[in-house]
Amino acid sequence: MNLTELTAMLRDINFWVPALSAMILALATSLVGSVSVLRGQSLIGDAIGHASLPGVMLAFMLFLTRAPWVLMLGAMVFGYIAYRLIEYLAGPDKADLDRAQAIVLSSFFGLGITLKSVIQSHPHYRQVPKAGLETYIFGQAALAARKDLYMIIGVAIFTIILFFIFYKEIQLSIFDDRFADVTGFKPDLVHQITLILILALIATGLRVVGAILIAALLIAPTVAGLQWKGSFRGVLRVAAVTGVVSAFLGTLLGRLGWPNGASIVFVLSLITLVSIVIGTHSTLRKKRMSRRL
Amino acid sequence: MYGLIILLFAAVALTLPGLFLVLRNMAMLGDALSHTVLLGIVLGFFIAPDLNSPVLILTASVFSVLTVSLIEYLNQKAGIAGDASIGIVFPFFFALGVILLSRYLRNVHLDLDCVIMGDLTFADLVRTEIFGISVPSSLVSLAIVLIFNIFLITLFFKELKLSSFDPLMATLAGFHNQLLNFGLSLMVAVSAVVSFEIVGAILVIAFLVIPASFALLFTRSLGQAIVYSLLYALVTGSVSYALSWYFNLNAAGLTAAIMGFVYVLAFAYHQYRNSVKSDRRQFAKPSA
Repeated sequence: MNLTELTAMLRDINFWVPALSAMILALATSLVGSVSVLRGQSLIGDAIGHASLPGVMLAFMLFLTRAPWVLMLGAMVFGYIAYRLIEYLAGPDKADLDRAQAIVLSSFFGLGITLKSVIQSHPHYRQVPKAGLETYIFGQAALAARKDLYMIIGVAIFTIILFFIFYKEIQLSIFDDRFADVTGFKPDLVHQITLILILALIATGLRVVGAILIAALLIAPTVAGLQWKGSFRGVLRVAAVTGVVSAFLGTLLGRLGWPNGASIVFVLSLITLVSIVIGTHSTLRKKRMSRRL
Repeated sequence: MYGLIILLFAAVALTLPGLFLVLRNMAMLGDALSHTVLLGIVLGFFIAPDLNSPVLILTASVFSVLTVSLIEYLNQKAGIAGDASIGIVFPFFFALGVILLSRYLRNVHLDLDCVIMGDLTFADLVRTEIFGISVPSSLVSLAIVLIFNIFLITLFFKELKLSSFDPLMATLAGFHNQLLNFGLSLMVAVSAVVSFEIVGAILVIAFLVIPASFALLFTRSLGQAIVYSLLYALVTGSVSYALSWYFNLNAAGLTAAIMGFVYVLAFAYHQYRNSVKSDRRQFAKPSA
């Protein structure tokens, strides 16, 4: 690909609509994902992402439509059930969180695959158009349908606004839940709100990167941010830039024929790994500096 | 019929190392490994374009060691929390695998769907002759892995047992804990590579984690846990296979779903029994 082709593509509206929706989605996941990473529950996003699949399939089976809103709500409902189930199976002191996540993740995803095989073989669904349901597993090769894109943009903007409305409460409850409680900030309410934000973002993100890789969009930007800054605000800023840049470059690679979702995750992980090595606030760099002294 | 035998072989081969994985709180590492072997398989495919070639097992094992080392390195040297480092490494490798697969191996019989969901229905199509009897080649490779796993676990039983329950004591006694972790991950990875083109990555995770967690609900002895988890895996595996055959459903998905469902019921029963016990204990106490 030469330079003129590149500039032509950058002027093309058919590139910018999917690129912008992926970028806004990545911005939202970078912000909201920071909450679960800083709470030390990074992989909960992975578990919920896998567990939303049966919700998508069941919503399709019940309402016989591929309308993104319907499938997204189905994904959210199952994400919520999965979260509560993980909480229950992990026990009151979260001692078994690790195995609870793995159990819920694999059995829910298995249920999703089973339902998918029902949709594929049962005569009841033969008349209904169902192409595109498998994109919820690996993400879409290249984003095309405008309806999907507008929904992604809408949900992402909504979550970003909510995140900033509750910014103070979220910050306080991450760093000192008990203090937040004492000062009347209602940490339980904040937990519920962040859970709903995460569920909504995962359910919409499924369309872009798929159930397996969605966790990366929630985890990696914050880890990258932590390698450069020491304050919550600073981490969020770097995370947001990392997420947005990766979404842009990933969509660009998607245009060159790479799978879209996987490219976004690939670029994002690459930036994060480089940040871990060279970041000004990273542990590795601090170790190098102290050795030099 | 061979489908069921293959499923049960995979169940036993994965449940054994899975028990130690769960005991060491490394269940999500099993999740990560079952995803990253994809990249190993894809890269192996560039070297030897044959799905039944042992090169794939070799490259996938190399990648599993790389996965575990990278996660450990990020966790211990780069100061990144344990589950965050898992959450960075496995999407990276898996995304790379998906990209390479869809870019360069589009026309090859290495289907992404099959990698995740397995393909038990056609698992007995590729066959090898052993002692004049034609058996599915996947069954042969699974049998080899199974024997190998049983051999390794019996050989290192003492080391695995001690270091799973008391890592500090194991280190003081001179066992190399890190090395055991690697060995276990390698065992998990090799079993995963061999079984996952047949039963799929999702059922690999389910077999690794769910039977072991079930057994640990009901026993405190390692020997009993092995028996219980194997029984659980074999019974739920056969029942789900029969159901999937009867209702024409995806066998791997249904098995994972049913195993999880039964586990949740067992967990609820376990909680209920414990609460009854503690109630009784309260009533037995003389009131002050």
